[in-house]
Amino acid sequence: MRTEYRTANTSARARHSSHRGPPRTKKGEPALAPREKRRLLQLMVCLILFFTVFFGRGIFPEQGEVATQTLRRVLRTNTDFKAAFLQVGRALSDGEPVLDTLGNMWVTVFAPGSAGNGIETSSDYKTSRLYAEEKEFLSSQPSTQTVLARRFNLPLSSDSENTAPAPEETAQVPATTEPAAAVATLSPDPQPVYTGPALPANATMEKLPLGLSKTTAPVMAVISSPYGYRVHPIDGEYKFHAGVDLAADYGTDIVAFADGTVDYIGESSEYGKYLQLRHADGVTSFYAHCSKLCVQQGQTVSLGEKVAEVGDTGYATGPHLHFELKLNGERLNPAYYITTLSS
Amino acid sequence: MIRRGRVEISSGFFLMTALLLYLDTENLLLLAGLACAIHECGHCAAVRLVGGRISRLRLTAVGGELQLDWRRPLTKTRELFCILAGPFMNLLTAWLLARKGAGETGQLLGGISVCLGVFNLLPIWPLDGGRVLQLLLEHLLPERWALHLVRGVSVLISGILLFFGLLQIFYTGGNLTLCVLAAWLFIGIQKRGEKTRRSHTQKIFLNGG
Repeated sequence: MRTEYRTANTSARARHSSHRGPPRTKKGEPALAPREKRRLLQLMVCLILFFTVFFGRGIFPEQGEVATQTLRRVLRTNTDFKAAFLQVGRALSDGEPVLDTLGNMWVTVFAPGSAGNGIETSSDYKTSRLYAEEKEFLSSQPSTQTVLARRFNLPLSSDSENTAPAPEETAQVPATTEPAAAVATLSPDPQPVYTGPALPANATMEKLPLGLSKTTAPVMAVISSPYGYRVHPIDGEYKFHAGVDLAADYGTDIVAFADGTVDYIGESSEYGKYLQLRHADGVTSFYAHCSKLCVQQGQTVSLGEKVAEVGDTGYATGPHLHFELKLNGERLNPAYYITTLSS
Repeated sequence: MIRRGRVEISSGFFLMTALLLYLDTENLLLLAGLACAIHECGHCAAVRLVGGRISRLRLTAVGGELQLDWRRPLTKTRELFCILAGPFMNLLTAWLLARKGAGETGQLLGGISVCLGVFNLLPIWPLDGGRVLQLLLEHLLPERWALHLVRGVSVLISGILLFFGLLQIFYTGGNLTLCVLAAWLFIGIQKRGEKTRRSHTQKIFLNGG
């Protein structure tokens, strides 16, 4: 009888001990299972993110705006992997050192901002200079005449805004400074109105007549970077761009702007493979960043004859043609004289 | 997952491939797949050459994995040879293409091959480089320590890459590529880490994607 009682007692105690409750730590608090720990961690992370955004947007709205802009830009950028891989493959074929090539590739793919392409990748128009200039112009509440003049590039005789740049430009033009009547006959096209920072010496924004009967675009392409002041894509400085950048695929034929002779060819670290053609009436055209030069110095070329191929040699991060035009040593805006594709 | 014969493809692999197909605007995926296939063939050929036997090829979102038959284990030296055969095949392809001077497709494949080869040699586990590092460390340290050390190094390097990725987004105006790459490496380390902890009886032969 006692044995049975003891057995009953033992089994009762055993049953009771199996319902001890949740495992407890030394302090007596309930210990957390691994899954619960993970859930708690997730909850903490989410709460931290929530409060960061909540207080961040409330207390620091400008930082929030900057962050949004950065995020939008980052999400929109389109990395050209094909061009990057092609560059590596080509460098290998050419026998260049592998580590240099891979280093370049790293920069091109991972940090394109520090060595930007000749081609604009971001489409955030609000950060472009053109937008800022137009906004400034329109916010000064100009008269209808002024707006129309700016839109259609007409010189205004009765507007005080345009008389300031006009004398500057006519002073810069060498050997064609004639009385106003003669200027009107020499340049039948209306002069474009330039309202930017003062141009460097021997550069003009005027559309001077070249005196060449026939010309052609060296490459039929989109202008990826125009003539004039710009933020340099590689070193980030505000510099004067003395020509236009025409974005074309690697290896595209570059043809002569007009009949002429090859003034010189060469290779430098900034312009890569370059050449200059001399045409009639003191006009010269300059082609840089070529992958291949197809002419020799002193050779005569005719309009439309292939002189080089588009490349990315020199201080460039994407294949494009840097095209300059000079009239008697003065740099002109090539965009006036060539047809290009619209982007 | 799909399993047919000795090949097993996880669902994550299809998801990852779908994402890459969507993002691939320049039709690079085919060539990249070819480069990966050459890489795997290098591993397989090397394994067969030294007398091992492949029991399964597993394709996942974080790379490809070759499982060897544990009844025919490889010595450490032979395993090293097999691991290095993958990147070696990639670099060999690139070198041959560079010498022969192929057209644009050839140059593209050469570029991709070189990048894949060099990338796999990074000392990050479970890429080939990480496996090589682990093998070399196993000579010096006990096995568990070697594994932990390699994982620590992998996490450290991935962390550095992530840091630089974020840095150049905010300071130089870059893109998300480096961050995405670092995140992918982190996921790979976590997932493969789980697998090794769970199954240590069968010898797993891992190589990055």
